Amino acid sequence: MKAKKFLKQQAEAEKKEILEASDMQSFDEFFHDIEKPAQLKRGFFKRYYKWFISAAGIAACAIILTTVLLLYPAKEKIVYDENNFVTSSSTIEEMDNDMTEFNFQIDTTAYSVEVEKTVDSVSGDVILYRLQVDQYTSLINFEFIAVCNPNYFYPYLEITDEYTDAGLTNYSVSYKQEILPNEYGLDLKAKAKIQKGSEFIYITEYNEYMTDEEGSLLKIIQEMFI
Amino acid sequence: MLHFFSLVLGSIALIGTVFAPGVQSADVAAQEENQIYYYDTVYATGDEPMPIDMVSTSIPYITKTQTASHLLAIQCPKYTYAPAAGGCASTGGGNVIGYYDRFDENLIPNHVSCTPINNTYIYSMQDDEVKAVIEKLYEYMTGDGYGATEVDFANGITRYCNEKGKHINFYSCLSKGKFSYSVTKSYLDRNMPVVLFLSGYNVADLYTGENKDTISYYQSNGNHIMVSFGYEEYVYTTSSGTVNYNFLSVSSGLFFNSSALYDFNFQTTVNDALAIEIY
Repeated sequence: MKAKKFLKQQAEAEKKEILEASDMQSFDEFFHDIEKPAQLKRGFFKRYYKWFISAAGIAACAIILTTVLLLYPAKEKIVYDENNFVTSSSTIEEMDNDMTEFNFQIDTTAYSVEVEKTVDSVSGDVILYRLQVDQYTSLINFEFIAVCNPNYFYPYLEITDEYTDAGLTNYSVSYKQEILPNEYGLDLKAKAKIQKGSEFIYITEYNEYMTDEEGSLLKIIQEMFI
Repeated sequence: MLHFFSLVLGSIALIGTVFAPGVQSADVAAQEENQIYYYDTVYATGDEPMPIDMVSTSIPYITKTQTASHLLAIQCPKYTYAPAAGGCASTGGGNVIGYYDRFDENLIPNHVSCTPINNTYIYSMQDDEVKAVIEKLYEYMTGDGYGATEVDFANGITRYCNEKGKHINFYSCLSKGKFSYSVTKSYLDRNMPVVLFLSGYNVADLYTGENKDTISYYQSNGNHIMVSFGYEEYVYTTSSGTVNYNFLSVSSGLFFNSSALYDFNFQTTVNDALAIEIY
């Protein structure tokens, strides 16, 4: 009886041992099976993690940039064709309304003024104003262009080395003037460019007759352009 | 029958007054045949707008002499108004009319032509009355936006003068078919403005410096009409010899250099030049 019980116990123990051994073997195999890929996986990322970080960074930048461009689209540069420019009569008041930097002041009892406005017929944008100013004594007359559109570059007055720079109260002036003797007397001719902020005044013609060497160009500029 | 002959004779008389006895312009008929249209203005250009380029030339010199100069007035008319595209003929015609308005104020009604200063005159700036004359000339000189030929110019200004009860003579400044500066000078010395018909032109400023002058040219390849009211001549002695520069003083019809010098030797062709007398 005891032997039977012993054998039975022994058989159960051996059975258990056998089962555990096979489990362990399976477990070992299993563990071995999963350990190899895990090791493989760990090597792959270790090798290429820098690329992944770079790719993630680029993707993030692309997303941010796209978002910014969609929210704040870049403004298209405006290019005007002078063939589309149309000129019409205007007033000093209209010009003052369109000029944000300069204020033009003139004594209309001493000078006559003709104002023309140039508009781009395609966009309707105001480009510039052209004024002819004539002193009633006729000894001084001049023409100037007031460019009030920051997208338009006036190409017909190029500042060269012969121009002199002068600092006036609210702006600086580049000018060139000459006293020319002729059969009738002295004749002062000048051109000038004045900039204040994004606006430009071009004095394209200035004539002062029977003048002394000094002339009145800078004085007139300072009085008329505030 | 009587009416028919009256009509024929009247037409002959009318045609005869278009080209008054003084017309001596060479090849006006050929001009018509060549159909050169003059159109350049700024900003209203014609069907083929031409860009304007700026070129500068320096003249370093040892000595400089102004050998001759003459202006019909210290400031002559320098109108720039163009009613529409291709309007340089009417603008040029307006400058000629404006000059002669001094002699007959009826030519431009309600307009003070000029202010006398010492022994010369300062012509007035363009006003509404001047613009009205230029608009009328534009209409008379075809005014189709593509410019005007020399014949259109002559016909248009003649019609305007005749309507004002004036006569007009045209005198050619060509010699042997080519532009003659000396002939042009002779008419300017007689105080007659000279109308220039140009293919390619320039308007220039001459700036003096310490032993170096600079000429700034604004140059275009377009066909354009300008009016000369004088001339200037300079002789420079340079390190490489003597150089002459002769300019015509012009009213260009361009808004940015309405009164300027024209160098007839610089990138330009003078198709014709007519001295004009209105009386």
